[in-house]
Amino acid sequence: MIFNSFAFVMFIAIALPALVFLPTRIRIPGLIIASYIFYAAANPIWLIILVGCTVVDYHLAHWLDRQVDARARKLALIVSCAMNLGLLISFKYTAFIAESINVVLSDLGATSPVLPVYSPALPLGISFFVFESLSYVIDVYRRRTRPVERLSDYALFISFFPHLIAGPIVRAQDFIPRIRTSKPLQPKLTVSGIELIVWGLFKKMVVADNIGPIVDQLFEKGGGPSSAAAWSAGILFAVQIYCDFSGYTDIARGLARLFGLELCQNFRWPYFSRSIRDFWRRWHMSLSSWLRDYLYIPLGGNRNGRLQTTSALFLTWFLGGLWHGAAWHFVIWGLYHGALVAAGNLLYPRFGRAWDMLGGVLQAAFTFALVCIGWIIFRAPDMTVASAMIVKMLTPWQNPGIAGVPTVVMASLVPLAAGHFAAMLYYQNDDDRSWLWGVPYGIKLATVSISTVAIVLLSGQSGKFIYFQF
Amino acid sequence: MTRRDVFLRYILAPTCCILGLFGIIELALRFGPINRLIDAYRPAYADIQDTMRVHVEKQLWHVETLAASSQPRVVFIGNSAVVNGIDPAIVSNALTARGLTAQNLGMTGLFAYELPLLARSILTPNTRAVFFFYNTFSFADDFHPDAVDVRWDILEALRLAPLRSSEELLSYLNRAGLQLFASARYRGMFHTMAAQYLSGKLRKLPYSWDYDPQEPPPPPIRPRVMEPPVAASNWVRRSYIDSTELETTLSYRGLARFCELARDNATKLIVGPMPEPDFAAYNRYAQGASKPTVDRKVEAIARRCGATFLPRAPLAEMETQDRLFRDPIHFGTKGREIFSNMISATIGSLL
Repeated sequence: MIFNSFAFVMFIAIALPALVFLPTRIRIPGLIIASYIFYAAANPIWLIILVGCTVVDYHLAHWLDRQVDARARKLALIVSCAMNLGLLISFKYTAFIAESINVVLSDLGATSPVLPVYSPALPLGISFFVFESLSYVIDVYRRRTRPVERLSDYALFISFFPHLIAGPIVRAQDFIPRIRTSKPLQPKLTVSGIELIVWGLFKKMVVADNIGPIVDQLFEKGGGPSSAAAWSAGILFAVQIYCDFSGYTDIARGLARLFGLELCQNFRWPYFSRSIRDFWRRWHMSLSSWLRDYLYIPLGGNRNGRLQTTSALFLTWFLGGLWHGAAWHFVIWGLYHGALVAAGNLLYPRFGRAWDMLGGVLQAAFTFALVCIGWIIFRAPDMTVASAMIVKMLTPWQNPGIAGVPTVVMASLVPLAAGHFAAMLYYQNDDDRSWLWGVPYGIKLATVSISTVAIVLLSGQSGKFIYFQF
Repeated sequence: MTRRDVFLRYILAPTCCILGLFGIIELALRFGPINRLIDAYRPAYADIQDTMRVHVEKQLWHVETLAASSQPRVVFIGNSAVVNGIDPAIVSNALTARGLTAQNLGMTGLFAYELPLLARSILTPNTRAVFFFYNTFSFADDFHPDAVDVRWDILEALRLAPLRSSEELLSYLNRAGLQLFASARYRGMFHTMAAQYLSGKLRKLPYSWDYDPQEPPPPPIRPRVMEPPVAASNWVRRSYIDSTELETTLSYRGLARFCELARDNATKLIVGPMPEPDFAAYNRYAQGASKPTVDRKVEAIARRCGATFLPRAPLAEMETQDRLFRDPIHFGTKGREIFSNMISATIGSLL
């Protein structure tokens, strides 16, 4: 069930009034049931995986916490990691691994595929709830958090429908303490939640869904005949994926606020970043902080010399790329970003002053260009197309002119970018700021109503959220 | 402020306002002059060939606009072969004495299961007779992927294809939303028209066919060489194969249901094959399709529910004449004229 669908509107029209007036002790089971219905709507069988994962991790964390023997604690951790990662690998990566091995063996002379390629349907949101479960058990193991007392609280943490399918990746210590104290429909939180939902719908339905078909066409044509067309493909996809994913997050956070709960910020104006490192502090923040805390730092982080830091960095980015999808172009996209971060680390001590002299605008433009090149790798159907497009982008003298550039669409990005910049100036990093809260009630009502109707009328052909596939 | 107040002020009130605004827009779209204005300026196929969804939307808009007219009518329905194969002006001449007018309700790729789904726009009180002309791919066992979101009626769909999974439930519900709100259902067409208006390209529909009537005449003879067939999983090919090979399909059931609806509405239903050129049998989609098999199944359905079945025999000569067809499915201008005159000559005895 996707947020921008009629089915979801009907779901929320029933769930919201039914749940917000219940006392907390009934509301939590009610929210869990609603979340399970939301999840099972896609495929009821997947619910078994979600519930199984929840129950096993809840009990494992408790058992782990009771152990004083370090080996027993480690064993529980290993069992949990094996189960969660095993689930993820078996659903998401089995076919990819088998195909990759078959390719290698065929290069070595095998005449027919050696391993059978079995690709089961990927349960929605598995990459997200597996990471949430892992972080919880690891935190209990590290004694950074206490095991959750009630199974219902833990089940809600894992299954809460706004973040279940595509994040943000929530941490137990941030979410669970709020469950029992949350009060649905608090005036300011409700208004700011509605503001987020309207923003999110605008980004997804009006911007991303209208740009999507144009991006598809450009990538089908290998970026078009000119360097400018290839750049426009990269830029348009950058806009599409940002509006798609951050739109989803806004709606998710807005819905959570209606129930009095907060989900962490996932995006902080990433296209105004002044370096790739800065970009990853602002893009899909819940994933990048997860990778930092549970992968990069345990691998040694930046504490053990340049070589180990670089190795940890590349391994983290390799797995970060792979998390996005079982395909080599995602891995290469991850490594590309890893290489840029590593290059930044290596070059900044020597060329930092020159970089600083460029000024914020040029730094942001340069960073955005590098990010767009990365998006080509991410979006292109294969690496042959991606490399051809990137070559075209980087050799404008060989592919001059503006043939193939969707000029009207590109021109429409100018007011969008201006609006985005104005929004950044207004909201900045203040997560609680709400424009809607400060205006009279009549204006609130008119703004929300007219905006929602306009969004539906201006929306493109509804497509799934890009991050649902991960 | 209590939780109830917040709910009333910030959830219920905006919801009511939003529904009210949609209600106003829906009324405006159904208002005769606006409806007809949009219909007159609906985009030509030549301008939107890469967006099948918009084509489907604009055709259904036209069908719904015609349904609103009060003139007694005889309608012709089928897929794009009908859109491009029947000239309602020619047929209307034969109906003038009876006070009837002919209307072409053809819609690209229309499968027979869609007839009951669109019954409200076809079987209007002023519809005296419905001619359904089918092709050998008209009886698919699956929903039409490009049209299912637009040409939809949840209740009739549930009757024809009961839900098998929760995923289907979601898609049925989402389509029901589009069914409810014309503003959402036709938004692709509105966007296209708005873009055409803004770029100064909005124009009155120059002709009601998909193809320019002035285009060069088709070649007199086509090769009779088997083309390599497309994969059997291709939905177009599947629709040919299923129409022939399966004894009953979603679309055969759909035709039977429409027949019932027409009978209940006291509207005469006449079912017959649309001429398909002989050279189409070599086409990469149509290979293996059997005209006699499909005709036999349709005739049986028509007999059971009291509809009139038109045999294929009188069309045989026409089907051999390659020059009448611009491609394996559609008549050219000359073919349309001949076929429309043929209908005109026999329609009196059928009504």
